[in-house]
Amino acid sequence: MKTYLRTVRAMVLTLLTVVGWSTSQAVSIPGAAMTIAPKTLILYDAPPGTEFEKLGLGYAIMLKNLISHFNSDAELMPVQNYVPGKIDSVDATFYMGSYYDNKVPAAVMADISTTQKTVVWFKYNLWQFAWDPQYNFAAKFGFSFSGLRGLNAAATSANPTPGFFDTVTYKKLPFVKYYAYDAASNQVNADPDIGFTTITDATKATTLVPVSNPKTSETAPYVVRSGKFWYFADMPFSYIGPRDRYLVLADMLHDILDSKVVENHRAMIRLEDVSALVSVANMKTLSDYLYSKRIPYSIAVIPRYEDPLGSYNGGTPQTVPLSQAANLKKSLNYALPRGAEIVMHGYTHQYSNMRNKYTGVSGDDYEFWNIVANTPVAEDSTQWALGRYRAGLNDLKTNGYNPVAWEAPHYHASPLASKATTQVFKTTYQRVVYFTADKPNLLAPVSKDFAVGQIFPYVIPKDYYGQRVLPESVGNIEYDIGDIDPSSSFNYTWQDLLINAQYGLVVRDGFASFFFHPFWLDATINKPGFADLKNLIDGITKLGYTWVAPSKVVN
Amino acid sequence: MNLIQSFFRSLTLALAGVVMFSGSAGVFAAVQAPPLPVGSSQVRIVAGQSPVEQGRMARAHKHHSPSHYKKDMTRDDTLDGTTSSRRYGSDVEVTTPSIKNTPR
Repeated sequence: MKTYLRTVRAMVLTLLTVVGWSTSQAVSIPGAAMTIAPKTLILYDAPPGTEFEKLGLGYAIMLKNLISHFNSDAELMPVQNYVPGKIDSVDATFYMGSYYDNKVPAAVMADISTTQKTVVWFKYNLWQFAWDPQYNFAAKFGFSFSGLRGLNAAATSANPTPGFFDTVTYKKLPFVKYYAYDAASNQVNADPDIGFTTITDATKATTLVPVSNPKTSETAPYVVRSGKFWYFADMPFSYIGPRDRYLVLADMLHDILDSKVVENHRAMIRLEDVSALVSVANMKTLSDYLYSKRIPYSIAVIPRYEDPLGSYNGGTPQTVPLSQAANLKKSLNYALPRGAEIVMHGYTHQYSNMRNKYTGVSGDDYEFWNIVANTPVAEDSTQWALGRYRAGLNDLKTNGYNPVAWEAPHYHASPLASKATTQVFKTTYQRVVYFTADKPNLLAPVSKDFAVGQIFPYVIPKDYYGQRVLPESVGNIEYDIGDIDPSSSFNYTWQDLLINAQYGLVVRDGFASFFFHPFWLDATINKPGFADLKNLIDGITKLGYTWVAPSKVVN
Repeated sequence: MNLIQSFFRSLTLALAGVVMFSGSAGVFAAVQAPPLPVGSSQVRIVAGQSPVEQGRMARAHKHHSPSHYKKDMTRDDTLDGTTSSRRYGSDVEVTTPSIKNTPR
C-alpha cells in the first residue's frame, strides 16, 4: 500500500511538473498549435585580432532576433568558446560560418556528429567537418561537400556582371541576391560565395531549396537537410531586402524549430512623419478613405516641431510645441475615432541645431544617431534618451494622446537609446539597426564594430535590445521630385511594394506592413499619391492579408 | 656544462612545442581549406540591409514639400477650403481646390 501511494504520488508530481513546465514554456501564436519554447545556441566566428572579429556577432544578433519570434532567448557564443556537451543541452544549435577557414573546435564537430538535437550550419568551414575522415560525414549525412563557388570570373569594366549562384528558388518565387559592381574601385558589393554540396544518399539527405547560376545554367543545393542536420550554403543575413533569400530562412525557422504555425498573414499601414507641418485636408482624405474600407491604421507622430536653422522658415528658427500645433491636433482628433492609433516617432525627429544630415528640421533628420560622424551623438546615454522619450510622451499625453508604440527616426538609434525604449514603451514598430557594442567604433582598423540593419517579416517579441518589434517589411511609396527637392530623386512604386508583399507571403506568418507619407497628396507635388495608395491597399487585400491595428497584434 | 644545459633546455622547449602543437591539433581539426573562388579579393560584404535598402531607409523620411515652407502651423489649413501652402522659394500662397485629392 505504501509503495502504491509512493508510486501514485510520484506520478502526480511528475505530471504536475510536466504540465507546469509546458505551461510556462507555452507561446501563443495566432493560428498555431501550442508550442514549446526551444532552447537555442548560436555559435559564431570571432577571429581575434582581425578586422572582422565582430562581424560574426552582427550576424548572430540578427539570427537571435528572428529566433525570438519562436519565444526562444538564444545564447550567443563565439565558436572558440564552445564547451563540450553544450549542443546536447539545447534543442537547436546554429553555427554561423562567416569567416573563411576560422577554426571550428573539434569538440563542436564531435558533438554534432553524435547529437540527436537540431543543428544548422551556415556557409563556410563545413569542410573542416565534412573532409575530416574521423566524422564519416557523407556516409552519416548522405551528402558531400566539394568546395566553394563564388563569382564565375573576376569582375571587370568589360565584364561587370560575371554571374554567380545568385537565384534561390523557394515556394515558386525567385530570390535574387544583391549584386553591384563599382568600376571605380573595382569592387564587388555582393556575397557570392556558397558551399557546394551534392546529395550522395537520397534516403538520408534532401535538397529543400535550390540555388541556380543563370550564367552557367548550373543548380546547387541551397538548403540541405539530413535528419536534424541542416546546411545553408550561404549567410542569409548579408545584403538583405524585402525580396531577399533572408525570407527563406525566416520561414524555414518554423520547420527548424518545429513551430507548427499555420498560414496566417496580416497587413498594417502607418501614416508617416506626421508633425505640426501636416495638412489637415490630406489627413482627412486618408482617414475617410481608410475608415470607409474599415482598415485600421496608425499615425507616426512627431510631438515637437523644431527648425533651429530656419531651413523652412526663411532663416528664422522655429519651434512649435504640440499644444500649438493646430493642424496636427485637428488631424489626430479626426483620425482617432476613425480607426487610427498613434505611434510616437521621435520627440523632435532632428538633433540639436545641426544638419543631421539634411536640414535640421523635424521629420528630416536623425535624432538618436549622429549620421554625419556615424557615431552616437555627444549626449548619448540611457538617461538622455529617456529624457526625450518622456518629454514626447508627456507632450502627447497632456494633449490627450496615448501612443501604442515607438518608432525611431530613420529607424536608426544608438544602442543605448534603443535599449532605453524598453523602459517606457512596451512595443516598437520599425526596422532596427543593431550594433556590436554599446559604444560602437565603426572605424577601428582591428576588431571594429558593425552596424546591421534588419527588416522583420513577423513580430519579434524581444530583440537583442529587449524591444518588442512590430514589423515594417514592405517599405513606402516614393516619387522622384528632384525638380522640387534634388535629394528626393527616386521612385518606389505601389507596384514595387505590392511585389514585396507577395514575397512576404512565403513566410507562413509574414506581414505586409508599409508606411505612407500624407504629403504625397499635396497638390503642389502633383503626384498620384492617393490613387497609388488605394491601388496598393486593394492589391494587398487581394493577396489575402488581413488588416490589423498595431495594438491588436499579439504575436 | 652550459652547452649541455642549453641543449636540454632547447630540447625541452622543442618537446613542449610538439606537445602544444599536438594539443591544438586535437582541439582544431587539421583539414586544408578549399581555395577561395576567383574574384574573392574584389568582394565587399555588407551585413544586414543592402545599400539600396539602407538608402531607402534614410531617404524615406526626408522630403521637402512646397507646402512646408513658411507654413503657419498654428492655423487650421482647411478653414476656408484652401491650404496655407506656399510655393517653393516664393511667398505666394498656393490656393488649391477642395477636390485636390481626387486620383490623377
